[in-house]
Amino acid sequence: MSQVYQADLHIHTALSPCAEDEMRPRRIVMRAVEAGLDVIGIADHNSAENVAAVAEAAKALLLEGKIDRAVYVVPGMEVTTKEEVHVLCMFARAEDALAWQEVVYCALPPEPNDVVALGDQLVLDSADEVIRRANERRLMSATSLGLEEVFRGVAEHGGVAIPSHVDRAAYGLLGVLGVIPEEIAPRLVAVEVSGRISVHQAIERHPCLKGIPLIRSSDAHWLSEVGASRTGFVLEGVPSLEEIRLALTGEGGRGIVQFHAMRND
Amino acid sequence: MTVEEVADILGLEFLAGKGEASHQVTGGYCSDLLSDVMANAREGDLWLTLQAHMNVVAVATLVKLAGVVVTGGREVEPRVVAKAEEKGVCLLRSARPTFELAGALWELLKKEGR
Repeated sequence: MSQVYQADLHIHTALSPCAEDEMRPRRIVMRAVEAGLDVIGIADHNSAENVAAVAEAAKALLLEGKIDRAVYVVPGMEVTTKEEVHVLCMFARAEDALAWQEVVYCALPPEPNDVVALGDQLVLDSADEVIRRANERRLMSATSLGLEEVFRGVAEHGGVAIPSHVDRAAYGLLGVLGVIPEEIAPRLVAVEVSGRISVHQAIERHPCLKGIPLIRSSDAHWLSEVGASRTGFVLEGVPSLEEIRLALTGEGGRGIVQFHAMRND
Repeated sequence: MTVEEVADILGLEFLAGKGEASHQVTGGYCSDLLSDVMANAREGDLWLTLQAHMNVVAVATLVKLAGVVVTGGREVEPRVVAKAEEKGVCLLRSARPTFELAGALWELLKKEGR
């Protein structure tokens, strides 16, 4: 029986230097439930070190009775390509995200993070405690991976690559490159539009988006942004990456539903 | 030459960081890729760019740039201005394109013997 699951597939934790310290596993999950979300995607810059902690926190909170329903956590990250385009990389399992992370880590420049200039990078556990400060690499950097390389690499790791907030001038595929490059067009399953415009406006401004499944997410860097933009996924079974992928391609009665809340910033 | 002097001569609009306007401008850098600026710009450079988002302020702090000039008349969001002010980063704006401004800045620095 198909059901609509509300998903915000693009949420940062305090691992991302630009995200607030409050973006910790338990707090993110509780905020997601408050916001009525069933599915959240964890997507820190160039790293997936907190995804398992968020998934564990979701399980723990349900067992503790602190939340009244399960929240499915999509393990992912937001890679910065060498062209300085952001791409959401989503995986079926945390292990796949971490395997991809190794590729990404090798493609980051050697300089360590500068906490004062860029912000702290916190690896957290499922109890929201800091395990370590991961400042040996600068997650805010662009990797040396080109756009096509990222699409290919993510596919090889069984994941789905979705260009982030394509409408944004900063790090958005269309903002930076102006077009959808031919090399990635065949692999394009969906594209993310920022919360600042509606899907209709996005297509009006960028006719090349017509016919491509569009999702909206919050890109939350602080708690109140979680769920500020979201997409509804009509799924046949419990949420999983495979169900989401099938919903994006419209298989077997699955599909996507747009929620029209607009960000106010 | 200070940021203030360069701003006066080139007609740049000060958006934030006026308190730091006495910083010396010892060079210039043109790039719209932050990774490139982080790798190749030098302390004291005045950075000319189209980019007007939050990370621009972070990069200016990281590389210890003399300042950032957002070119092409691009809009800068109030929160980016606030961040620049908070971090003491000289953030300026010009309606002129990067190429023109770069040429003008080049001439100014040449006269100074830089």
